Amino acid sequence: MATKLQVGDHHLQITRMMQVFQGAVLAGLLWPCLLSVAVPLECKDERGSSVRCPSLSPTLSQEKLLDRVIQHAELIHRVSDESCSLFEELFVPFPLRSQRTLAGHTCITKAFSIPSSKSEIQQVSDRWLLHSVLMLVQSWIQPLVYLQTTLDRYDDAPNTLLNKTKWVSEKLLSLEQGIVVLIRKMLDESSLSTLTYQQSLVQYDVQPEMLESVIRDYSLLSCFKKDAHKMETFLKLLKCRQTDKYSCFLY
Amino acid sequence: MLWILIFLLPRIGLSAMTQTLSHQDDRKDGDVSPTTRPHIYRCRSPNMEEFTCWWHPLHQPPETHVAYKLTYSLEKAPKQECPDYESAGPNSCHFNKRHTSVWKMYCMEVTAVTPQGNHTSQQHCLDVQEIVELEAPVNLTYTLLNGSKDDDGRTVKVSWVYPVPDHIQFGWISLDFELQYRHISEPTNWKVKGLLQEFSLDLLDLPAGEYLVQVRCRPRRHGLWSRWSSALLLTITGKSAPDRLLALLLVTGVGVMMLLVIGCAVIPHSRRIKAFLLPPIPRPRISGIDPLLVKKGSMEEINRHFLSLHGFHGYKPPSYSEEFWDMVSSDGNQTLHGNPGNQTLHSNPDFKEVEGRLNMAASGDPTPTATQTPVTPNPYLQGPFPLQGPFPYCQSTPWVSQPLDTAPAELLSFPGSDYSLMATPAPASTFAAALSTSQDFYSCVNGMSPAGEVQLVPCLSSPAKLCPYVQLNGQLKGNLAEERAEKSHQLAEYLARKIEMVTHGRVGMKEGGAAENSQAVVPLLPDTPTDTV
Repeated sequence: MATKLQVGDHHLQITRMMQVFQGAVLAGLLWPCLLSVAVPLECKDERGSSVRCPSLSPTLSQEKLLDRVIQHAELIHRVSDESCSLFEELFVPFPLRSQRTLAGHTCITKAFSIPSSKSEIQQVSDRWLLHSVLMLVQSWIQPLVYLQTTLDRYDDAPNTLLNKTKWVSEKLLSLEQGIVVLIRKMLDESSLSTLTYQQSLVQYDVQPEMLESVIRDYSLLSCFKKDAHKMETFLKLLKCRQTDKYSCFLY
Repeated sequence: MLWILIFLLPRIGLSAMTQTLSHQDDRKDGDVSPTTRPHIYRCRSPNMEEFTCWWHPLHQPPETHVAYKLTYSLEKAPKQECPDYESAGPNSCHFNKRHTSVWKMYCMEVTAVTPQGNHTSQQHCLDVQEIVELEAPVNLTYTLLNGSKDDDGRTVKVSWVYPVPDHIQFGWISLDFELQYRHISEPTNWKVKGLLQEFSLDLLDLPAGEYLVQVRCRPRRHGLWSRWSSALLLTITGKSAPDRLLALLLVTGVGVMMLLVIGCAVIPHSRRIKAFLLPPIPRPRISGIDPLLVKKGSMEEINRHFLSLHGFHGYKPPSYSEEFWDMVSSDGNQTLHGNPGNQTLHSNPDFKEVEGRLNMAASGDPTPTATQTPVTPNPYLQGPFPLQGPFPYCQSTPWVSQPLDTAPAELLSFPGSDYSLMATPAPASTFAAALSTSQDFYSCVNGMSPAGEVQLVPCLSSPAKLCPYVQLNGQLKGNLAEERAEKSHQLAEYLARKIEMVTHGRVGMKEGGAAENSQAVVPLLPDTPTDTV
């Protein structure tokens, strides 16, 4: 009896061992299948786009994003500079040209605590830089839309000026999207989204006087020009910091 | 059953892998449209603000109604459907400004909805900036610059225009251009000018002819090349054809003139011209002596000539004596038989030397013979030796049979120079002297006197070897040969005796050192009588 039991136990043990062994062998032999499924084979065709096997969607790299954002900021600054000069030539009387603070009109964004001196900028963190840029961009979307409408009212505003301002306002929107994506990527903050148009910070009369209108628009344009330059500077500083943290004192 | 599974599993794994790999291959065949599912084959953006994608439909019979649905997603955003299926034609999807974003990658796929079922294409992902393909430039024009008279080629300025200025306004896209041109007769030899950033280019120094020019463009640092523009025909007239003809005419004329001048004027007077331009270097001349006579004349003539000259005092015609060197004297004479005038032979002896030798010859047995011996080249002389040169040890060298005047001159002619030397005509003594001088290093000890004097004698090698002419001669040989044979026999015996004496003792040696010395050299002790011979 005892022997029978023993034999039975022994048999059980053997079968268990066999099962374990089978499991191990299966696992060992199945690994190529796992590999082929888990590792996505990336394939690029000659048209420049990458064609992927499913399960993983590619994203733009942070460098590419930053480069494109800087490209946008540069263009915006350049075009806004040109627009301001053009407007100044056409509409602004000589005595009022290139005054730092036009009477009664300060720049909109002065209220924001954005670092403005070089030393301040050096001390500011990446996060703060990005958020400042976003704030600037978002605060200028609406004024630019207003600017388009107001410039239309001028009788002899040339098409180039109108086209430029229109183009700038479009690109500013695009830039906003870009900054949001960049923040999400760089700072891992996913709580941001593109803002819907805020209450405009600019109050405008429906039928202003010509000179006042000119002065106001001119101050808008020149303020925007300065802020565009700030945006560009911040972003370039950010880029510089990516490569070499200690030699970015040119900005 | 378990074992069957084990064997099957690797095969399954491999097939899965090959399937994924074949997916790759499928995608690479851009043009082959698979019949099983649609395939997005091209996406293009003209200005980085909008883009279009096209796909290959299924191969279905036309009756079946197939609907296509394109879905895309921006990175991790939810899927959306194509906003515009029409604008770009059939089997296409157009994304306008509102739907285009340069900040995210698009991944899209097309589904063919058929009654039999849905067939979904593979996923196609893209970055808008990378698929930018611009329009080809248009309005190519050219202007010819630089009408210089010297060059054959002209400089051409080619300019072009981008057709849609809105794409590139405000610097949104910066353009890079590439220009290619070729001569109309060479269909495959395109010359490419790249890295252009302006809307024009100067082609420098194009030779006359007709050319085709094409331009294409690309956004800077990203995107694809546009198509080549339509070709521009460039014509450059060759205005220098008459100049060339004139030049050719001039050159041929001048050439013909030169030939005439050379043929008629220069060649006939070439010698004079040569003498004028390259005057000959004067040779050393001694008045009264005609070098040609001395070179080529016969001995008698020369003798006559020299005797007639009063400048040559004491000229004695060379006489030939058969003098032998007595190397071994069997009569007990211990002195050296030799020529007191055993001077070193210079390559340019003066006449004293010549006289000396003549005297020497005369002091011997002055048997004026009509024989002559050919000139020996001085061992110090270089150059090919005439084979007839007598070998110094051949004491039977006179060529009796030969007439006098055909014998070569008694002059040593130095090859390579114009100098000739009146040298002694080969008494054996001089040859011996000559050779002895060359073998001065190797003087052999003739004998040793009891007083310790060493008598030196030039070393002899075997004379027989150096006498190829021993065989050929006339009647005179007989006597000479006998004597010679006797002498050589004597010599051999003498040598043998000496060796014996040396090995047995040092008889007659005063110093040990001298013995050593003499041992190095075969001693020829003279004081043994040779009566036994």
